Amino acid sequence: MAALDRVARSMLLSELLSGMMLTLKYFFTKPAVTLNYPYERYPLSPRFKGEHALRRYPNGEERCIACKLCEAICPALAITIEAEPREDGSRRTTRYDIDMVKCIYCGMCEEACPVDAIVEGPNLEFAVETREELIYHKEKLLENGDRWEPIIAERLRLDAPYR
Amino acid sequence: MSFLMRLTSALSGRRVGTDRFGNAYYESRRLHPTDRLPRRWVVYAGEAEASKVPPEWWGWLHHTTDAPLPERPLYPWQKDHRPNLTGTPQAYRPAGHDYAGGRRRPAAGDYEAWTPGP
Repeated sequence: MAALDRVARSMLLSELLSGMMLTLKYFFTKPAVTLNYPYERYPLSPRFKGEHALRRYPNGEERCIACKLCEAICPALAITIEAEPREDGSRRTTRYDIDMVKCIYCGMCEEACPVDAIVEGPNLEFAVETREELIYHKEKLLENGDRWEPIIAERLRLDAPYR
Repeated sequence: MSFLMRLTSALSGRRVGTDRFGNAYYESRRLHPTDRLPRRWVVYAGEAEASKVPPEWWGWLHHTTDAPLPERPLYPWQKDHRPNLTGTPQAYRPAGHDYAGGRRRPAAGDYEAWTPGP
């Protein structure tokens, strides 16, 4: 008799209907749990880790001094740096590559940096169509910094009291 | 802007401002019941593309800052915002990519190509 009961329940789709009923209940429940992206966005902390950027000093000089601490600490080995002294004797990178396919967005590079040069910026809409567009070189990273500087500086200012 | 978007923005929203690209930003009059924050949304000028929001308004839209940042650049080296250009001819390519000339400066990790001996 128990077997008949089970067959009858599955033939009449009662499990399916009870599941759908729960879905319908949440459809009418307030508050709505969904968000109308891309028009609406969810709240994000100033520590949110998005696309990388290399920053500059206010006079336009790049901050990175090629100490390679970010390269050393990177757990995914995504950063490659080569450096040599510039014409004026200042030590700078000749090559600063981040493989964004390898990057796990842990933010250790940002923590290791003694001059706040490499930061994980706020941008999260940098999805691309091909993989090669994710091999970032130094010019691309500096350009990210130049374009996103207002909010990068504001996020660092907001987070400073907790560091 | 769709008709429904215009209707909701007019009925439940307060216009906060417009950025230099023409995107309009709205804030709801009532607070979100669980987040205890006003809902904030953007009505895009033209196509709805998420990366069109400039950094000055990004923080406001994500509730990171309470007010949008001033849109006047602070330093001469700052560059203007650009949306994500992937899929267009202006998309970023790394140095040495065939579409970007195919040539790059040699790196320390490069190895020498093998040539057959005599």
